[in-house]
Amino acid sequence: MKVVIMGCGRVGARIASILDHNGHDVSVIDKESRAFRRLAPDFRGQTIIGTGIDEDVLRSAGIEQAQVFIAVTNGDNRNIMAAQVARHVFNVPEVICRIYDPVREDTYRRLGLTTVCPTTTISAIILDHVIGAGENLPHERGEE
Amino acid sequence: MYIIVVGGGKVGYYLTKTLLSEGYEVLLIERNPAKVEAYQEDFGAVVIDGDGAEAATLAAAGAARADVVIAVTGEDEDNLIICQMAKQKFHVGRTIARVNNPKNEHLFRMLGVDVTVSQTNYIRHLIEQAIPKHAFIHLLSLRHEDLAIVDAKISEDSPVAHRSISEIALPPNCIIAAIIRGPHLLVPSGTTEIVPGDDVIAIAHRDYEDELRSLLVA
Amino acid sequence: MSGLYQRLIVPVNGSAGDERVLRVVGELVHRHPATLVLIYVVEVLQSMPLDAELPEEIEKGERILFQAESLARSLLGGKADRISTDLLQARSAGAAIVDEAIERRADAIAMATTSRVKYGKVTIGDTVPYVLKNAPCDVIVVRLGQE
Repeated sequence: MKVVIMGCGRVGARIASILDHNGHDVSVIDKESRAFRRLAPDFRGQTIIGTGIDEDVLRSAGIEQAQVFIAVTNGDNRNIMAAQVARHVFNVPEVICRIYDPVREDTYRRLGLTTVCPTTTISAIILDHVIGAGENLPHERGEE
Repeated sequence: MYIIVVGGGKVGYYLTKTLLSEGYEVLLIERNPAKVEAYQEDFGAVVIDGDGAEAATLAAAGAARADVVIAVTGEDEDNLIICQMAKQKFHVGRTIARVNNPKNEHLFRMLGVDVTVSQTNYIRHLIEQAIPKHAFIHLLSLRHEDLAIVDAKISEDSPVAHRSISEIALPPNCIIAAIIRGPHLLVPSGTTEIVPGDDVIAIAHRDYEDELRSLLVA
Repeated sequence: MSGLYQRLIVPVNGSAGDERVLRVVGELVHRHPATLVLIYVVEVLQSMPLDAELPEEIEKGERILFQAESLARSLLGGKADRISTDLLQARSAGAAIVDEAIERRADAIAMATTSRVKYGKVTIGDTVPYVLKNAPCDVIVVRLGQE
């Protein structure tokens, strides 16, 4: 399976290394070459320096053949834009996008992106330990 | 009319200043508190501090009653998401985005931004007009860029040279609006003959711009 | 003979500061009569147009102005030869107060403030600093201590 990952932070590097270890064809994109040091030492995939919101960079990462695109930079907007490019320009079948802001996450999930929001998931796990599940959550700022 | 401008760089600053002097109700959203403070000295309470892609900021800015949201930050991804949030969450009627990378203009429109402005493309057009290296020039885009005003320079090789307007089978959704011959502006009729050296000014639908190009300049 | 100030603007907000600042004004115009304008500013959120109709806010403002006016009359008695009130609707109270001072050619603005903690820092809000920076006339600020 061909997988393109944008963002080689802790999460991106870990996903890339594990997928690569499992025999998948992985390309990782990051603005900084230093970021690739986070990859496993035996990583055999492709590393591309650039920004994943640029169609040419995505092409050189092999997005046209990719079954999966994962956007995990630390910028919500960059992740959302790259995910939309992967989906609407390159028709990648599976596009996953990390969004820290819960309101933006909700908005783009409704628009059909597969989204992961660390803010809500991590808070939920911690709250579960503190007060148990099923508590009422307040509205997010900006929600009607 | 209420206009929200997001991004207080040079473009956002002068845009806000201009729109205010035109008498519009304007609000500028800028992320850098130091800039916000400086602009408040200039503009008063029409500048607020916040991230324009965040729903809470847009809500506080009154995006729900805004007629237009204009995103002019230096980052394309921010401009896109600001316009999409304004549309999706606050149902803003018209969104305008500055596009820094000209390759993104098409993408932005595909993803729902109503109007895109690319300085690079704009300057390129100006250069094409000033230095007539090209025989077919895109002068202006109209109405969400579906329509274009173009200028075709007719040479001896042009398929339409020495032919009258009525003899030319124009592509659909295209009209010849004017002919510039030397210092004269001609309003063409069916019998007007096109001669080498003419500038043919036409209005064309985007989808037929290429067809029109091959017809007029080959 | 005229006193130090003839034309004073006193912004009020219905807090304990209203009485304090009126007492201070009473001392200032101790001997010589002065004109006093009490103002209340309805701040309109950006989410609403500036001319939005806000009946509850207006009613609250009128109530506060009425109380402040009665208080001013009882505290100042004959010292103020004319006491009037004005209800303003604006985006920010500071700018409205300064504009009012310019328009009425006031020679002083007297206002009260308290300090409070916001975002972990002690603040006196935006209004007083704005007025101090931009007022065309003297500004007298009574910063309330402990009650």
